[in-house]
Amino acid sequence: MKEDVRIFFRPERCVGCLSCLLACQMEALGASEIEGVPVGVKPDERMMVTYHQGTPWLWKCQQCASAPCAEACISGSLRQEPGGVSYDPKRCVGCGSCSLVCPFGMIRPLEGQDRMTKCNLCREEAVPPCVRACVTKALVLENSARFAQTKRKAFALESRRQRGFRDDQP
Amino acid sequence: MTNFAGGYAGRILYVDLTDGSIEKRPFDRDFALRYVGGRGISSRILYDELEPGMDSFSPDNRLILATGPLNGTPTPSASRLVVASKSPLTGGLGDASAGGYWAPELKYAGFDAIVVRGRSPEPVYLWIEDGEVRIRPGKHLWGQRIHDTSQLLKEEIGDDDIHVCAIGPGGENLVRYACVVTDEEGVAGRCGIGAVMGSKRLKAVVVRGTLDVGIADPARFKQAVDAYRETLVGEVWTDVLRKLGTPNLVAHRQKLGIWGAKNFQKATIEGWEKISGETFRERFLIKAMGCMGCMVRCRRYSAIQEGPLSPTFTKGPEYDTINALGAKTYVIDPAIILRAHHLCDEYGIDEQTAGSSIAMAMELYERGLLKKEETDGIDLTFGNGEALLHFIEKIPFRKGLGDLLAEGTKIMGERLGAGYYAIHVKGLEVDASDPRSLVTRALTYSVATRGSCHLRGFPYIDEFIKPEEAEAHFGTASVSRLDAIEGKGRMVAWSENWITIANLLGLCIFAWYRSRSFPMLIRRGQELASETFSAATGLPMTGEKLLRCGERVYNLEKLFNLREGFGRASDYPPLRFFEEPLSDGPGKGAKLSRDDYDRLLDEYYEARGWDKETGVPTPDKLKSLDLL
Amino acid sequence: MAKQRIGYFEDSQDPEAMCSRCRMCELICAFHHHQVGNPRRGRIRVIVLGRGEDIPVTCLNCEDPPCLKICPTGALHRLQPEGMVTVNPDSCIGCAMCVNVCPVGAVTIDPVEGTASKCDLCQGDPQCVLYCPAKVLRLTDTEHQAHFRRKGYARSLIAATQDR
Repeated sequence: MKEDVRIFFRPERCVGCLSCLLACQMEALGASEIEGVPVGVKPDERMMVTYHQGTPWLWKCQQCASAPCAEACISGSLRQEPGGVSYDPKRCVGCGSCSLVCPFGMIRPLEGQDRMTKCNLCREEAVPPCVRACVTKALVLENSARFAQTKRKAFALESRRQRGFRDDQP
Repeated sequence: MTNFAGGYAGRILYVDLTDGSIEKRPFDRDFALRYVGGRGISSRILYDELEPGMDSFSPDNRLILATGPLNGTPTPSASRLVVASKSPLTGGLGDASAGGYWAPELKYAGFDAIVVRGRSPEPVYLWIEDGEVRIRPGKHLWGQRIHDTSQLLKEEIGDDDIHVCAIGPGGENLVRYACVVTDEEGVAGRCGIGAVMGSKRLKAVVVRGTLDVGIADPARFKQAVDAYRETLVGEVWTDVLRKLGTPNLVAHRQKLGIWGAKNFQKATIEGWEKISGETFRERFLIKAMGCMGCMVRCRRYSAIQEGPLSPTFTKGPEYDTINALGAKTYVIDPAIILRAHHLCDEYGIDEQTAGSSIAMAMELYERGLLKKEETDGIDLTFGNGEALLHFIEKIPFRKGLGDLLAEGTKIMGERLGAGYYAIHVKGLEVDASDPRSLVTRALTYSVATRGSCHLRGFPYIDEFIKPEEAEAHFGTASVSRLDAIEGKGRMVAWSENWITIANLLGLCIFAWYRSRSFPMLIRRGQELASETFSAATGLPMTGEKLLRCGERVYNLEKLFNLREGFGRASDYPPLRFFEEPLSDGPGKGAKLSRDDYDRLLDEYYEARGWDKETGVPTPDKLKSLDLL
Repeated sequence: MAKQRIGYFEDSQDPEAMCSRCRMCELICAFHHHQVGNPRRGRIRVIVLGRGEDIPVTCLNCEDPPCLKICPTGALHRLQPEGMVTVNPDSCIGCAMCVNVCPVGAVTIDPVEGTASKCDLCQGDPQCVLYCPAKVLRLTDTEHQAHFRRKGYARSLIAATQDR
């Protein structure tokens, strides 16, 4: 359903422009325009892009459905929801247990504060800024069932062509 | 979310389109054990909530979409949806059913049934997803045909993994026999429920469900389902239906000479091979298709890929398609029949009543009771395929003669002073076959609670029941003789209660009632059905109790009709069947005898525990069914 | 033995030997694994392409599976080198990286369990194969599927030459 969504990354569409990263950082800094970006302030590291043999990969909280971070959290600030992992900064005590168990390393300490930060899909926005910023639609905000269904349909269409069905059949 | 261990979602969705209010009403196990689901839910609610005498297009009429407890489970062919309301065609109880995938999807979305009342000020559609219900603007969909409506909704919702139940222009324009179409192909055709939906300005009900339908005892359930499936594997009907679909019956009708051709003037068809099941398979069949969980696969998917009527891609035809659009109108042209069928589905009008109405107009034209100026300048003779297609396009929009045709044969007869040529019972046109040579068939059609219907009872028992079985079950071996009358009233009454079981559970009768063995009717139809029900829901049920539920629901429907003024006189077949003998075929010369029919009807009422004069169920009968 | 998968084998000339969209495969898969009625929890899904074309899609048991390689916890694994890729629900964290990378959408996150869900060949007795009324689903491998295609092609070659 609406809440049960996550961001899927399609590397074959990514051109490495880093607009997503910029959008994320600006959101974290509260800046809606480039000119509004404060100088000398480090934004939350909710998203990271790394390169491997020229291919970019986008790292963010995966909104795991059986999240180890939620299990590890001692303060109850990280909670397992149907749509992923919610985070209540007021409860966080900055113990770092979550970042120890996150296989992606995408719960990161906030500079100068005793707490962590992670991607929370910018739920206040209609569409997360990173998804909106991506020109090639490499980032997709979608429910995992629908995401898989789209791929199944594309595969079925391909295998249908191989079986000799004419595309111009009405 | 549900208070049941399985099967049921346990909630009925109430929507009021006048004020936009939405209510999710739970029901308890007591209700479930007495009414089960499907027709049990719809008939109970219609009886409780409707004022007798109301106009079917009044906002106070209810539109009910009801599933059964087995919909959504892997029970064989548990695919059927019941749609019901007070019928604008008959003024009595109206219901129809459709197969496919919509009923299971409603269960996955968390509801057992939907009751719509009121009237929306603007066209709307309902969008139901996992328990969430929204009434959405539908003005942009109004006027669209069924396929386009589905496409637009898929684009708007942004997902093609949804299931749409919609009306076409026929329903919007209150054609009295407009139908409801699920997933563009599963048509709940009869009684004009689509027109009631149109009168409420409800264009579509869209569902998507990802929730579980629980199964109380999975091991027991699997055993029951596997046993059920086994009974279908050896069944000769399974094979016949898979190969030819219901059109396999064309050859049978010709052989017995029981067509209702030319508006029931002719019992055989010259050139019938052109419209046989085999011909449709050879020339047009693309694929045998199955509804949810079905191993029979009687659905056809056909296409006309060359010639002037191409391209036409459509589900179907069914036997009833060929009968209504081909035999009645005497248009012995399979491509035209298929095209006309497709248009009926796209515009959302019942092909049976459409074919019957056009056939009646054809007879009136040939008899000079309708003039060419009145028939849109068309030579409206039997066999005129162009005329058939012409009027199928006009009826949904009430254009020209289409406006009168849209009223159905009963009103056509009243308006034109030609009631004799309106072949209906209680306002619903006679489908199936000509009963003049078999009075038991006439009884079955005529006492059906929704009007003439061959699916409300199962009279074919007398084709295969053994004498000793007939003796044991119905008190006389004569029930095993096709031409005998004695005991048939009891037989029909029993068969009606029995068939209702499938309509309560959400099961398709083609994977349930077909057999050449009477013990199999009991075994599959009652024992395995109740075993599957108990295993799925965790509720205690037996074959006898299920039969009692069928009888209860049937009596409730009778009460509804009695309240609307349908007395004993309405349980009679059309006058034509008493007055005119069959003109040709093996049954030539046969007509119904009044004495025979009266005797049979008397026996039927007696078997039912209904007053012989009035048809009113006695207080004792109602008490025994917990209806009093 | 080659890596096995569920294959869809149809005869487009035979109206009864094509997927009929009955979705019994979906129903029985979900029932077998979760004891409920819920086709969307099945690990095989029938894709409706329209115009009477319906194609069941499920895991291809790739030689070089992206899902297995990307799994951060090793929950996706093979018990034997030629076995089917399966999910260990105890170590799966539901991160959906497998969902992200599967080229055919064969892996999903089960909404109730919160772990990855994919075809596991029902421990060698695939239920979808058993229950498909059209018998178009078969336990197969790439060699067998290629052979089937070659046979079909050979038939059409013969038919073409005979027409002349």
